[in-house]
Amino acid sequence: MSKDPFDILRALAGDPTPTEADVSHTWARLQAAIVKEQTRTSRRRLLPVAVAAAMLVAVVSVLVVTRPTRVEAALGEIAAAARTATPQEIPDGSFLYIRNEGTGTGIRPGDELGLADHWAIQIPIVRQVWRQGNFEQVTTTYRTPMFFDPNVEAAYYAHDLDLNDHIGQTITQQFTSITNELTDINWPTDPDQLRRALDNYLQQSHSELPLNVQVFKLATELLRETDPGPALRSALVQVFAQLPMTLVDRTPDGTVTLAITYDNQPRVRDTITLNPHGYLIAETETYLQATSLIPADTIVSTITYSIPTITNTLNTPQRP
Amino acid sequence: MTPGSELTDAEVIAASLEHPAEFGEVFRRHHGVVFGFVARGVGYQDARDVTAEVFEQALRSRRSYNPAYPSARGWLLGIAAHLVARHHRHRSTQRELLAKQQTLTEEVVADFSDTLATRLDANKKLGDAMGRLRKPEREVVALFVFGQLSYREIAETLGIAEGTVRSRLSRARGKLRNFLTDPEQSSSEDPEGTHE
Repeated sequence: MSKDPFDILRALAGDPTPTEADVSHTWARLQAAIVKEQTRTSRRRLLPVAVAAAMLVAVVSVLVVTRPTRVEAALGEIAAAARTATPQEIPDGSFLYIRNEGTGTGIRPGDELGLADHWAIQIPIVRQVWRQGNFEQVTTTYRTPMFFDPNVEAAYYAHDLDLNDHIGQTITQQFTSITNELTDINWPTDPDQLRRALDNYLQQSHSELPLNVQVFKLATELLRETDPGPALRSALVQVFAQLPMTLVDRTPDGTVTLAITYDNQPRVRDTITLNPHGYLIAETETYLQATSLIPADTIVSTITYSIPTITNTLNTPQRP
Repeated sequence: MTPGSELTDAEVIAASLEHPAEFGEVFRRHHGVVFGFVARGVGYQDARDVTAEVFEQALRSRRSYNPAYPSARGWLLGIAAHLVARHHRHRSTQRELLAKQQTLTEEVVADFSDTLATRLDANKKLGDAMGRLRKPEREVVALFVFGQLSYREIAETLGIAEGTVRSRLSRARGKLRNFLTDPEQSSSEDPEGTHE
């Protein structure tokens, strides 16, 4: 055996080789992405028309969209409330408990069902997380799926794909030595410094989305299923106020729903709902344009989040 | 385009801008290396999905590919390294879980139990060895040893000088030689230091 340390490393790591099933799976996903890209390429040829239409939409939007100052005012109140909140402590032997419910839209290759074309499915999922330090227990329940085409639905069950998708099942997993690079970063709690830090972090991203949209997604992620603490939560809310967001709704108790719209082929609108203390309690993703499988204005993903609570058991807490 | 095409990766990617199906050739050329690189980073069970994500993301961002680089391997492994890091960061939030619905197909996980037992010691030693290196050194070692990239390709992927790649590899080789022959010798190293 060679004494070159790099040869020794190669030997220690072995040679992970993909099986035929691995190759087929990855190839099928790439083919699905290529189909989507082909749609985009066709659309690019219609760019001049699209630009004219977009300008018209922009003009109309300026007329109807809520002024940004209302967004800033609404988020300013939330940021102030978030900053003065009491930090949540997790005593030894207790867990941070989070319960989420969501539904997402998946596009799958046709060969699973013996179909020529891709097909779409929506599976509602309930996810419960218990977290303590580097330990995490996750319980996931897969509920009855929804389809856009009754023929696809029939084929889905005929091929027993519901068994593969764990429909009707609850699966519990426990993880130890959990690390989270994103939340391990010591993010600044000054809103302007935080914005610069988010921009810097995103420099390594390969996303083609506009920077403002990437910042929105990253800031949302820092609020999602985490407890960033009062100062960072407040700063994140103030970062949202710097983004080109529109105010969709504001309830009397101060809960706000904000939207950001961007072109991701198709055009997409994401919304987040923040409670008066800056907790993320809901988000949605809507396709504003039709694709070959999904009609225009379809909500392709929706999630509601419970406020994290402290519990001292790994069982489902009683819901208030 | 056929698998035996003489076109460079850059030319294939350029062709795929107008005809996305051409991108399949990039997959055929580099899937094995990308899969191996990803599997070493996230483990075999998750390698399939992360590898698929690498090619999906590469397809979406192919307009940003620098045509001055004939081979796309470094570019793909750069994306792979980013997604491996993200995998460890995210694991599976609700959002990720929903996004993964499109891949909730048959989860056939090969039975590695026969080889796992004999590889446990080796994997621990591998992890310990890599843990002795500073982060910048680990990056170049991973791309050189597991990604099979040249010095120049690593420099392009990480945006650093080729000389820096050489010096980091040289330093890493020295540390690993000490550790792999006598782990105690390297116990005082500072694995997270950032000075060059």
